[in-house]
Parts: sequence; structure tokens; C-alpha cells
Amino acid sequence: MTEPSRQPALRGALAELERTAPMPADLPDRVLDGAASRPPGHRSRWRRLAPLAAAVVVLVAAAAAAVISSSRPNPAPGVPDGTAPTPWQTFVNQSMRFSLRYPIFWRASPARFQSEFVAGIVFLSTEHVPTPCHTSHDRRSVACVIAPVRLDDGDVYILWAASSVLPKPRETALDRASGRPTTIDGHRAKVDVTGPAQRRWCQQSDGARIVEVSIAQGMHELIQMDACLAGSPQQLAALTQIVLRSARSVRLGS
Amino acid sequence: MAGQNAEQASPDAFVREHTRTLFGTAYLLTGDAHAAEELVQDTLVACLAKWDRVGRAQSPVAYVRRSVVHRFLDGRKGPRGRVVAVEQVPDQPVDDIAEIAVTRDSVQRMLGLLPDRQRAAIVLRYLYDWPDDEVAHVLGCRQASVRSLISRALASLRAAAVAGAELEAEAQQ
Repeated sequence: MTEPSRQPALRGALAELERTAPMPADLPDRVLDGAASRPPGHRSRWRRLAPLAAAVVVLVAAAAAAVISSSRPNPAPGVPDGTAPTPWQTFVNQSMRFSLRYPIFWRASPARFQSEFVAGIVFLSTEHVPTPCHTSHDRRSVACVIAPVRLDDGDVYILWAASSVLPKPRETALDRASGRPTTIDGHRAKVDVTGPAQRRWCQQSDGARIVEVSIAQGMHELIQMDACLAGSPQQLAALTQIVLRSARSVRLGS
Repeated sequence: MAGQNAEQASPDAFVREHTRTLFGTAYLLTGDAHAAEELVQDTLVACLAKWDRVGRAQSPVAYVRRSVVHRFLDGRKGPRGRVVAVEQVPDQPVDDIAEIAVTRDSVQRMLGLLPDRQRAAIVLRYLYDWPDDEVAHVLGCRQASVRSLISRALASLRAAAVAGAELEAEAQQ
């Protein structure tokens, strides 16, 4: 049996969190407006818009790395040898109407997590890694705990996920994404290649490069990729090309 | 049960006076400001639609808070999960979380590690001092299950607190 008085620090911290929760100042007004405009028996306008209005980009979550106990003699299995074409295979998530192609040397693990704003699609890596997602004992929740590990030279670790973004006037979700504008599968997109400092988990995984791809899906939703790459400058250049080729193979609605 | 309340005559005043604390509850449950906003707005709009009944409750704010918790749990049925990035897996529990320096941020992060029902039980018990039977009622389970939920939640929080303290100690070295 636990008594409340035994956890004063916890209680104090909870009270502090409750007191300082970042409530929008106009929330009471919006509640009253929503109540006043709600026809009996119907969902309010706000309610219909809630899935979008409440959404915010939180993605980025994290992908991380995996301990690579590679049995392959090639220390960089994701990197082509420069002559032979890379064989590709296809990953399909039918419920999200998402597909993409990736090198046959990579492994794909469905990313079975979902929060209010982010839904995982797939983890890709150069070697098989145990899924970071685990189902609770009562099978009612799935937690994806992703901890940085170590990437070896030539390794990549990628998370594809769908995210929703809080709408703002005259701004789309893609406006908030960083990178160079481009088009993927007919959708507006952005591509950004940066150093590992942009993602702490990648830096801690001995990653040397981050590749981010954001594909607009409607005004307020994005399909996003975070890739962490490790290796020499030559390997990074080759891996970046492969990662981008894979990203450009994305098909939405197929 | 049916005590008359000042709020009964003025739902507007109730909203203006209590949205802040209800938002705090929702924020603790969801861990996200936008989700909390949605949760509170949905709950309050629904409660205002039946204000004749809500306003007569012994404590309208407790009534609405219960509705917030209900709506939170109902909206998250089914397999869902969160992405939680951790830097170190906790492995050494201690006896009392209070023995560890608990900060606002660390508690928020640790709450995010808990399953929904455990998080709700912790918030209702330790922040609002709800007895087991009330927590059991709102969670739809037996009192023994509440104690079990809280026990498991505290164990997880202790473990996470230790990990956080160790990381902090390492950072200071």
C-alpha cells in the first residue's frame, strides 16, 4: 500500500506541472464559443477540426541505432561497390497507403507505434535489428523505446513516420520542415542533409550525417524520414545517394 | 449529491475559473499541450451541454475532472504507444522517489513512460488525493487493481528517477 504522504517530491512536481501547463490564454473563450455553436446531437465544428487543430509536430522522435553484429565480410553492406547495380525490394504499408523501395541489403521492421500526432511506418537499417517496439503485458499499449547504440561504418538507421501539424493561417506543415524544396511522387517535399549534431541520438550512435525528408500530404500532414548514417566521407556520400533514391521511390496512395 | 453550487448558475464562470486546472490535469495525462487542449475542450463542451446535471454535482470541478480522465482513457483504447527516447535503461530501483531530486521536467518525462491507466492513477492519487475507491470507479476496475497500478507505476518512476539521477551525476563529473 502506498500513501500519498510518502511521495512529497512527486506530489510537488505534479502540482508544479499542473500549475505551469502551457494553456493557451484563449482556451476558455474557445470552449464557450464551441459550446454556444454546438447544435444538439451534432459534433461541434471545433470537434470536427480537432484532429487537425490539435496536431503538432512531434515527430522526430528518434530513430536510433542498433548494435550491429554483422556476419557480412563487407563492413559497409549498404554501400554499393560502385559497379554492380544495387538490387532493391519493396516495403508496403497498405493501411497507410505507403510504399517505398530499399536496398535488398537493408532490413525493414514495421514501426508499430502511434501517438496522437505521430504514427510510425517503418524502420530501415543495414542489418537486422530487434524492433524497438514492445507490447505491454495487457496488450493494450505499445511502447517504442529507442536508445542510441553504436553504428558501424557503412550503417544506416532510418525511421519513416507520418505526423500531423498544428495548422496556422497561411502555413502548411511543409513550411515548417527544413531543407531544399523538391517533389516526390507528385507531392511537395523537402530534403535536408545535415551533420549529426542536429539529432542527439544520431550523434550518440556514432552517426556522421543526418538525412531528413519531409513529404507533404495535405495541408497539415507530413510523411517524414529521419536517417542516421555512419562511415567515411566516401561511404557517407554513397549512402546518402542510396537513402535519397529510396526516399524518392516513396509512393503515397498506392 | 445534489448540492447547489455557484457554478450551476454560471457555466461561463465555471469555465473561466476552472479551465486552467482542468487543462493541467489533461496535460499531466496526455503529456502534450495540444492533446490536452483538445481533451479539455471536448470535455467541457460536452459537460456544458448537460450543465443542469453537472452544475448540481457536489463538486462540479471533480465531476468534469472525472470526465476528462474518462475521455482520456476512452480515446486511447486499443494498441497505441509512444515514442520514448531514453539514454539509459533504468535498472536500479530505490525505495522512495522522494529521496531523489525530482524536477518538473524529469517527472514529465517519467510520466510519459507510464501506460495510460498507471499515469491516470498516479495523477489522481498523488495530485488530487483521490481514495482508492474513487480512482477505481473512474478507471473502471477494482480497488486492488488500483493499488497494483500505482505500485507498478511507482516502481517504474523510481527506476526512471534513478537512471536520470545517474545521468545527471555523470554529466556533472
